[in-house]
Amino acid sequence: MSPAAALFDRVVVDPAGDTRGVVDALDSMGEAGMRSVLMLAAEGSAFDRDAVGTAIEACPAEVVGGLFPGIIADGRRRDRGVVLLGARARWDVRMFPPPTGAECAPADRVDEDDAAGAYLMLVDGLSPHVYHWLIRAYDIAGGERAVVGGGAGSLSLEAGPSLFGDAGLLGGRGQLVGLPEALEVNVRHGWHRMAGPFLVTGATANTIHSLDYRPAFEVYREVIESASEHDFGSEPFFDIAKHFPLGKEQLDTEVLVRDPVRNEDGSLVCVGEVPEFSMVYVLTGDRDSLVHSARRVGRDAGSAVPGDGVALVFDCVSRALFLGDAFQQELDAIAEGLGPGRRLMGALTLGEVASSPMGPLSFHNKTTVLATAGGGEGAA
Amino acid sequence: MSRMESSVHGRLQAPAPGENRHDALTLMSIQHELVMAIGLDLDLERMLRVFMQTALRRLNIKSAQAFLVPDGGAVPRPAVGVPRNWRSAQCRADQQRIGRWFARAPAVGSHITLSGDGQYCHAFSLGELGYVLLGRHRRPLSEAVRASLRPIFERLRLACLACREHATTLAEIDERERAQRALAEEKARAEVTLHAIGDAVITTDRDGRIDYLNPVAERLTRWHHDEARGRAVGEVLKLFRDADAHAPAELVGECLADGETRVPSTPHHLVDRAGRGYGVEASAAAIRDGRGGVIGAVVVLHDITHLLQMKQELSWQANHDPLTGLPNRREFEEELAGLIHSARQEQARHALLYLDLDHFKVVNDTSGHIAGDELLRQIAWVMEKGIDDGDTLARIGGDEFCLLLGNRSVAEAHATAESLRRLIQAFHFVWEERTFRVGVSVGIVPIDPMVESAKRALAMADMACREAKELGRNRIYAFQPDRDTLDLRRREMEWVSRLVHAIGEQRFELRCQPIEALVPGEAGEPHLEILLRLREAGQLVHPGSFIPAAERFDLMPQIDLWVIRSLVDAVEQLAPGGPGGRLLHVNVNLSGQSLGSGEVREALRREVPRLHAAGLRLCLEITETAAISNMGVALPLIEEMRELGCAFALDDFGSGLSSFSYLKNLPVDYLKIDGSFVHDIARNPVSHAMVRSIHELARVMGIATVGEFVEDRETLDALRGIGVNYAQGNLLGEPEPLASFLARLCSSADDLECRW
Repeated sequence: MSPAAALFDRVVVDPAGDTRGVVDALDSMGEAGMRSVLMLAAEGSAFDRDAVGTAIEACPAEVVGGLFPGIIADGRRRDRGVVLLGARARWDVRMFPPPTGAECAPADRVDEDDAAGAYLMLVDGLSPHVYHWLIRAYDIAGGERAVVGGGAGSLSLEAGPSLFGDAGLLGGRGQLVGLPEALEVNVRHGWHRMAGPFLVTGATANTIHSLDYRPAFEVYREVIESASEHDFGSEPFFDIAKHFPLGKEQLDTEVLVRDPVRNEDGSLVCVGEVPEFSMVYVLTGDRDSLVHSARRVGRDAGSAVPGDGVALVFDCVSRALFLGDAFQQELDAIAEGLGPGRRLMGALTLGEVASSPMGPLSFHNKTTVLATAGGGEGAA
Repeated sequence: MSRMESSVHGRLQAPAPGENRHDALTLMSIQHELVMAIGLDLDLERMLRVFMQTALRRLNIKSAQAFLVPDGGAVPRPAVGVPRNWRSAQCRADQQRIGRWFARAPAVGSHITLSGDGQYCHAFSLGELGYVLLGRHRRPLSEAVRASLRPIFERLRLACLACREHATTLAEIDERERAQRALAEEKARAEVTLHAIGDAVITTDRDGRIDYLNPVAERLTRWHHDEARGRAVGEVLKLFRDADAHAPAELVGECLADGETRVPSTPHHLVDRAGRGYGVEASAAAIRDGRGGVIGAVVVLHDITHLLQMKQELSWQANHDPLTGLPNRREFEEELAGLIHSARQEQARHALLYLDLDHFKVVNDTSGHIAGDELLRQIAWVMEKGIDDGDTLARIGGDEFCLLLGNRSVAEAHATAESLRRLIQAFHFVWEERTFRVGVSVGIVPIDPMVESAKRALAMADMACREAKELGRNRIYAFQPDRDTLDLRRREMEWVSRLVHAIGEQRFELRCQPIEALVPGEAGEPHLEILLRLREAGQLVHPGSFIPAAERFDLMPQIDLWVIRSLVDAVEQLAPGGPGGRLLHVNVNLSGQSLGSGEVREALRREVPRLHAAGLRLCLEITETAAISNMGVALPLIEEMRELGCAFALDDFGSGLSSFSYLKNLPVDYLKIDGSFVHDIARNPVSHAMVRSIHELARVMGIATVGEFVEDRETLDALRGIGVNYAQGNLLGEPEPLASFLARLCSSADDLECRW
C-alpha cells in the first residue's frame, strides 16, 4: 500500500500548554470539523489534567495521544506545549488493557474488512506489558501494514496516567489507532557494536540476570570499564549506561537497541523485553553517528514519500539526553533529509514502536522512528 | 510465489563462513530461544501460538501458520496462525505443490521453500501431523538457519503430540469426572431422598451388618448411624411379630438367606434402644450386585404407632360408652354371645341382669341433660363398686344398664340384683342444692344352653325388666322361661302380622330430612334422606320398634322394595321437569338382607333410571355392618349401581366393625359418621378427635363426610371447624312428609333456594 492522501487535515500547536490554550485548541478542532485528533503533550505543560479531560470528553472529535517527556513541534524540541493533529476521517481506536491471568494471545477484534492503511500505536512506556500489546497489535495489523508509535510517560520513570482517550488520561494501557492512509516508516539508531555477542543466559521480561552465565552487570561493567574511562564505582549508572546501550541480535536487520536504565542486584533492568537465549551486544555511539543516522532516516523518508505534509517522528528521549544540546542537530538533520515543505511533528518517547521491513513489530530504544504520508495539512 | 527454491534439508549444519553474518552462536541462540518457546502450554493452539510469536520475533518473519491433519483426516487444514488475520497468500499452484510435497511424507523438520514477488514461504514438516508455514519479506531464511530449525520442528511435533494426548486425557478425565459427578449426584439424590423419606430405611451388608440408617431409622431405633454401622442388624433392629415382643422377626436373616423379599401382612412391633415400643409395617428386600448376587438387604419400616393407637381408641370408642366408660351395647352383646357359647359348650349357667333406672327422667327434665349425664356417671360408679371384678357391667341405652354374672345361678343373680337395688336406692344425687333419689328395676334372665342368641337374651331380659317396672318399679323380676318365652314369641309374631298388613294396607309413610352442605362451594343441589314410618292407630311408629322383628322374619327386602317403589311413584307424580328443575340427591336406606335379594336388585335396575330421569340422583345408604357382613353380594351390587349413576353412603360409620381397614375395599361416596360420635363432639375431646380422624381419612380417600344427629349449634360449628362436608339432624330440619316436601319443591324453586 503506498502513501497517498494527507494524514492530517489540521495542525495546531499550543506552545505554552496551559489549560486555556489546550481547551481552545481542542475546541478549534471540533469547530473545524475534525473527527479525530492526535494530541501529543509535553509533560512539562501546565494544563490542568481534569479540565483537559473534561474538554476531551466534550470534544466532538475522537481524541487519542499521550503525555511524553517532550514534544517536537515544527522541528523544535519542546519540554512544554501541546501539538494537536486533526483529521476529518474517523479513526478506528482500540484500547488494550493490561493482560489478565496467563493469557498469551487474547482474541482481539480482527475485522476481515478492516480498511486501515496503517496504524499508530501508543503505549504506556513504563508498563511491563508492552510486548503483550505488540502481539495484539500485530494480530490486527499483520505484516502488510505499517505500525508506528512510541511509549508515553514521564521521564521521572514513575508510572502514571499517560494516554489520552475518551475518558481523559489513562495509565497502563496500549492504544492502537487505525489510520485511513498508508505510512512509510523509517527506523534507524546509529549505534554500533562495541563488544559481544553475549548470550542472555538468564532473563525475566525486561531484566537481564546473566550474560554468558555470569551476572549481567558484572559483564557489562567489565566491558565498559575496560573500553572507556568510565567508572561505575564513582558515576551514576545511567550517566554511563546512556552511552552504552545493549543491542539485541536480529536476523537480517539492524540490532534492536535495549536501554539499560539501572543495575538491580547485579541484573540489568532495560526498557523493553530481552528474551532468554537471545544474543546481545554492547553498543556505543557518538554525536556524529547518531546525527548521521537521523539524517539518513529523513532522507529515506523524503525520497520514499515526497510531499509537504506532516512527518511524524518518535525519537527516543534518551537520544536527547545523550546528545544534550546537540539534539537539535539531530532534528535539523531529519528535516534536512526530508526536504523542504515537511512539518516535523512528534514526541520524545520512552521506547519506540515500529514494524520491521521484514514484517514483525518491534519495541525499540534509543531509536528514531519517522512516519510519512501524503501532504496537504493546513496550519494553525 | 512461483519458484521452488530448495527441498529437503538435513540436521543442523555448520554455517558457511560469513553467510548472513550468522555464526554458530547465533544459530544456537535461535535454537535455544525457539526450543524454550515450545511446550510452554499443553493446549495445542496456545502452545503453537507462543512458539509462532517467538519465531516471528526471533526469525524476523512476517507470518507463521500451522496446517494440521485433523483426527481421522488425511489433508492438513489451517489450524493456528500468527498474526491472526494472516491468510495464506499462496496461489492454487503453490498449494498443490505443498500438498504433493506433504503427500510424499517428508521427514520431520525437512522443508521446502516457495518464493515469488519478494515473498518467501518455508514449509516445515511435522511428520504425519502436518506442517508449519513461515512467511518472510524481502529475503528467505538462510540455508543455515533453515537447517538449524529441523530439530526445532522435531521437538515441536513431539510437543504437538503431547498436547493432543493431553487433550485426549483431559477428555477422558472429563468423561470420567462427568461419570463420577453423575454418580455422586445420583448418590446425593438417593441420600437426600432417603433422608427426606418418611419411612425408616436400614441397609445391611451380606453378613447382616448395618451399613446405613436414615434419620427416621435413627429416631425409631435410637441408634445413631455412626454407632450402628458395622453392628449386627439384630442388635440394632429389635423387631417382633407380636406386640408383647416374644416372637422375634428375622426378616433380614431370611431375606439374606434366600434373596426373597419379605412383606409381612400384619404389623410388627419394634423396640428401640430405650425399650420403647412402636407399631411398624416392615418389609425387607435383597440388595443385589450387577450379576444378581445378594450383597445386602434393605429394611423399610413404616411407623404406624399413631395409627394403631388411633385404631385402639376407635375400637375402644366403638365398644364403650363415652359418658360412663362402661362397655356399650355392641361390646356387651359380644361378651354375652361368648357366655352363651360357653353355656352351650360347658353346660355352664350364667345370669344376665337388665337394669333400668326409675325416675331418671325427672332429673333430666328438671335439671337438664348435664345433670342427667352426671347422675348416670355416678350411678355407674356406684354399681361398679357393687359387683365383682369378673362381672361385666354395660350401659346399653339412655338409663339402661346390663350386667353379666358368670357362673352364677338365678338365685345368686337375684342376690346381686338386690344388693345393687339397695345401693342405688340409698344413693343421693345432689345437683345445685337439690337432692334426687332414684330407684332401679331389674330383670334377670338365666343364660343356659337353651338361649338362642344374645339378641334374644337381651330381649328376654328387657321384657323381664319391663315386667319389674309394671310390677311397681324398684324391684326385681326373674324371667320365667316357659311363660315369658312364649310371650316374647307371641309379640314378635304379632309384629310380623302387623307389618305384612301394613305393607298391604299402604300404612307405611315416607318422610324426609335435609342434609345440608357445610363446605362453601358444595351447596347448591339439595340432599335429603328418606325415612320410614309406620302408621298404627293414628300413631306413627318409629322403625326401631319393628325393624328387629322384620329382620328376624326376613321382611326387610319387602319393606325396602316398598320404599323404592313409593319413592318412584311420588316423584313421577311431579310435574314434568322434576323437582323444581334442580337435581335432587336422595338417600335411601338399604338393609343387609336386601343386598342379597334378587328381587330388590331387579327393582333397582328398573327403577333407578326412572328416578334419575325424573331429576333425582339416588344415593343408597348401607350400614357398615351390613356391607361387611355381606361383602360378597354387596360389592357386585355397589359396582352395578354405580354404573347406573347411583352414589353410595356408608351409614353409622364408626359404630361397627374394624371400619378403616374395610373402607379401602368399599367404593363409597359418603361416610355418615355415627351419631354417637357427633352428638357430643362439642363437649367431648375424644369424640372430636374421632370425628376429625374419620373425616381426615375420608378426605384422603376422596370420600365426603356427613355428620348425623346434629341437634345444636355448637355441634354444627364443631363439624364445620373440622371441615365435615355435610350435616344432618333436627337442628337443620326435622323429618317431614315426602309428599309435602316435593309439592313445595315444585311450587316454588325460589322457596327451595331459601330453604336449602
